[in-house]
Amino acid sequence: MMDVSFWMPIVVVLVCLFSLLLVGVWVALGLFLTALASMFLFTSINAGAVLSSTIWSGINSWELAALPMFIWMGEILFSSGLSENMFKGLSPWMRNLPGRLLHVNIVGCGIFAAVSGSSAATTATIGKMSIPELEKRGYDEKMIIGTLAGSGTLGLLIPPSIILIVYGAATDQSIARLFIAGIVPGLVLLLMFMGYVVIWSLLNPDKSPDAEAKMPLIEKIKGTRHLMPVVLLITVVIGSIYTGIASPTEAASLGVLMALVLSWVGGTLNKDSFNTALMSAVKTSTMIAFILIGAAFLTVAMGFTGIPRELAAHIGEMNLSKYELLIALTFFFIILGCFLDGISVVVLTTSVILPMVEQVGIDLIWFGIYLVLVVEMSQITPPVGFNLFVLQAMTGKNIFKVALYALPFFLILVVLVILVTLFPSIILGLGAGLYGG
Amino acid sequence: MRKILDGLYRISAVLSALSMVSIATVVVVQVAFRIVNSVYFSLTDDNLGLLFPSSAEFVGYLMVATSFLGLAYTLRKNGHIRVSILLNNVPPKLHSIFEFICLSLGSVFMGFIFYHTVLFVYDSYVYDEVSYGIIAVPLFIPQLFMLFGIGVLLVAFLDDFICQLRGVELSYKSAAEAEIGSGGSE
Repeated sequence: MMDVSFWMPIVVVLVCLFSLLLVGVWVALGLFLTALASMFLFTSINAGAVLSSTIWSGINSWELAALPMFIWMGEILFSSGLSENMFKGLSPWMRNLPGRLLHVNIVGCGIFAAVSGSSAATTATIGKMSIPELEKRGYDEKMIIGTLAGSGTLGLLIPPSIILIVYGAATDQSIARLFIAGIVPGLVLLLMFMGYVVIWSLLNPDKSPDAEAKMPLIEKIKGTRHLMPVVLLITVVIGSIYTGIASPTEAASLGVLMALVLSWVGGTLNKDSFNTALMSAVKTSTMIAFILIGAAFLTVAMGFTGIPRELAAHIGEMNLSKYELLIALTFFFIILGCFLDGISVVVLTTSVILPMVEQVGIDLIWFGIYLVLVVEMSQITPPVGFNLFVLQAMTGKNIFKVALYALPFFLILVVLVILVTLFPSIILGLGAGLYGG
Repeated sequence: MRKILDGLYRISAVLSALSMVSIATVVVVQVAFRIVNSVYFSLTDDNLGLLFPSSAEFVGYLMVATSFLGLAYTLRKNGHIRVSILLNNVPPKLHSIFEFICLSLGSVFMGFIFYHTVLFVYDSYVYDEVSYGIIAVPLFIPQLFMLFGIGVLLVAFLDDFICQLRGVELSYKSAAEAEIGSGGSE
């Protein structure tokens, strides 16, 4: 097994990549440089000759245009006061559930996640208004932080998810099918989080503040009036993809138009807010595009070196079962997620590990959702996780304490990963019904 | 000199933003055409045949323009992701050595990619490569946006590299500080 000529290139590639990243080289640049080094060392291909054509065809894509559009849509909604309306709109409806306003954290994150697609942004935005409100009302601090850390990760899963577009683009899978596959696991996760809060508060009645005064229905609806259009917009966008009326790119562009109309009707659209949202969207989508072209080039380079193919053959010889491979990969991803953001983990995976996954017969749509779930877990694992950092900065609590508060939600994610592995139809069922696959 | 450079970054960023607006416009118009067509068909049983020719290709090219033209702006606004665990926790001396390594690798690599992209675009110009769609667009035109974006990023890396050598504060560091100053998280 310890065949030097087999392991040598893998070790060189990994050492090269991780030393570049640790020094602080931008992730996209690190991918490019690792690709160049491995082509130079292990092949006789003229790397420069394939470089430009690879990045050109890597980004020249109609499907990929969904990425800047969804990001822009989120930015417009964000700048039109979505976050301020979230607490006001949701709290009247949640106050009678056991666990009361803690559910605002979870549902708020769920809705905001559908718009933003980034878990750190979701946690930060919802937390900024809910932490002070919940603390003022005397909710248990452990649960305030835990629910936020856990539900913030919903951003990666609930469509339109940016990370699923990246995965789809990098693996040539249909983005629409990935979105549809993410719906059920996303909702199941949301319900599991809420279920946990309900059970916890029934077991610890003394830790929840008393019920607030009842609100008449008309008041509840009034409180929600600013939130409803956004929920409607998300429903239309996802619905049009789901029913096949629009492709993700079309749905996203219409989403931009609708978001602009909403912001105009709401009176928050002006030259300043338009420009801020647009430039902010340019920044985020360019950052992701840069990583994507780096990954595209790394994938081509890896193809020339044959490393992923050999790795896949090696795994084939080891006769690993699907489950054994998945357990090994889960640990690997959680470690990677300790110091890389979700998108970087996904593109690295698709460059190197995908042939191995196909080798053992894992469905690539299923794998996309599984990957996102595991990346979500890695965002709340200490010592390093993006959501933990955000909450540490917001609450001043030590990162290990935040992680401890988030532990129940981490365990719920583990349960969900096990569930979808044993019952793949949780992920594939909705799409199969739709596409007859 | 500072003014010229900042102007260059600005032009590139504005073009990137315009490309993004154009993607939305092209797609929305194309969807509108499709809706008008089907309404017309259901009313008159006749094909109106409104069409935005080659819209999918155009969106692809605009995607290229958005992505590449925004690269330098994003670098200077501290938008590109990097792992900063080590970088933020080493002594100042080592920190500036790390920055030096990052910026010189960035400059050299962007030079390399710029050179090869010049060749790539030149080839596509010489061999008259055109798109397959209804409208045959010479491919070197959208490819020039890619070349320009890469060129501006090369300049931006060299710019910060020289700042690093001269001990002037780096563009993305001032951007990061401005973010903290304005109350943003992270």
